[in-house]
Amino acid sequence: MESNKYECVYRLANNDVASEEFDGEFVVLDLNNGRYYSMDGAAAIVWKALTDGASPKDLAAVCDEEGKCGPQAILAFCDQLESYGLVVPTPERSGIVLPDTLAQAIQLNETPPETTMYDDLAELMMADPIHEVDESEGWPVRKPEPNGAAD
Amino acid sequence: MKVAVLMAVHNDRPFIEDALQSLLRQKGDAFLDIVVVNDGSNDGTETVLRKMAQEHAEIRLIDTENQGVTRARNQGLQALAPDTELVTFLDGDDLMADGRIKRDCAAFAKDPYLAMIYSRLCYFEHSDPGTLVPSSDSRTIINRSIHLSAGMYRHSLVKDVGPFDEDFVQAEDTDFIFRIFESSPKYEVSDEVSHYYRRHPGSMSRDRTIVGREFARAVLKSAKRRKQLGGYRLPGDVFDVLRITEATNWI
Repeated sequence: MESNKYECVYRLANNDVASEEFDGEFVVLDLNNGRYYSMDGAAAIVWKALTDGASPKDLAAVCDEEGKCGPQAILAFCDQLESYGLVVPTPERSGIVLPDTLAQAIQLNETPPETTMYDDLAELMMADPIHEVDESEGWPVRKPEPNGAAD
Repeated sequence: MKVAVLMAVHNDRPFIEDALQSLLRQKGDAFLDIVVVNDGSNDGTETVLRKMAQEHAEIRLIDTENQGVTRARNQGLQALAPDTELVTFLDGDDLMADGRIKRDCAAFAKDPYLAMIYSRLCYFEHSDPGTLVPSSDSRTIINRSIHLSAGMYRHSLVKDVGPFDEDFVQAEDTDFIFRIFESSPKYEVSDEVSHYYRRHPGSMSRDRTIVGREFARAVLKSAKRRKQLGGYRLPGDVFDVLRITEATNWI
C-alpha cells in the first residue's frame, strides 16, 4: 500500500463532475464525457465521507475488519474513483474524526463499495438538457470541447 | 386510427391558437382527439381554448387549477378514451409538423407490433402567426433529442409504462421516456421532422440548478431499474444530438 497516497483529501475532479444525493444514494454525472455512475450501499457511504473531507487512509483505518468492506476494499474503491476521473487528490490533510458508527454502517453491507459506469446517455448529457440553452436567449449552446478546442 | 394528442397548457396565449391549428390541419388524416388540460391559465389562454373547443369537436377541454405540468399530463392520460390507438404530446407553445399524423398512422397500420415511432425535432426561434412553420429568418436546429413530442406511442405502451412520476419537479418527461425505452418496445426511428420546438426566453424560466438535479434524479432512477434489468443499455440509434451537422451553427 502506498501509505502517503491515501492520506490525501479528495475533491471533485472539476466543475463538470456533479454529485447528487437522493435518499442516501448518489448519482455522479461527468458532463465532460457524458458518463454517469450510481452508488448505493457501502459505496454511497464512502463517497459521502470522501466528498465531505475524509481521507482514504482514515476510512480504511476505521473499517479495520477484513472482509467485503475491509480496508483493501475501501482503498480499491478510492482507486476506482480516481481512475474514473471523478475525484483528484489535494495536498490537504483531513482533520475529520470518523465515528465508529460510520465503519459499522459501511460494514453492514453485503457487497464491497463499488460503482458501475454507464455511458449510454452521453448524447443527452453533453448537449441536452443540462447544457441545452443559453439562458438569456433561450437557444441551444453547444458545450465546449473538454480540451478547450473551438467548435 | 384514433390519435390522441395530449396538451398540458399553462399561459401560452401568444402561441396556443397556432399550436392547436397545427393539429387541426391534420384532422383529415385520423380520428383526432385533442385532449387539452388547461392548467390554470390566466393570461387569456383559457378564453382561446374555450372558443376553439366550441368550434372544433376534435378538442376536449379539461379545466383545472394550476397543479403543474406533471399532474396535468397525468390528468390528460386518465381522460384518454379506451379506444385510443396512438398517443403523442404537444406543448402549448410548439407546433406539430404537417403530415406527421398521416405518416405515423401509416407505419403503425402496417405493423401491429410497432409500439413507438421516434422522430426528429426542429428547434426554432419564431414563427409568423398563422403560418404554422418556423419563419424563414428563424434559426433552426434539427435533431433527435429527448422530448415527449418526438414520440408517437401505441396507447397500450403508454398504459404499460404508467403515469408520469409526480415525485419530479422537472424531468418527468425524461423519466417517462427512459421508462418507455427500458420496456424494450418495438420502435422505429424516423429522420422526418415531427415537431417544431419553440425556444425563446420565456421558455427558459426554469431554475437551471433544479433542471440539473431533476435530470440526475431521472438518471439515478433509471440506473436502479437497469440493475433489475440486468445491465440494460439505451439503444444507440435513437438520439443524435451530437452528430448533427447543424451543430456547427450553434452559437
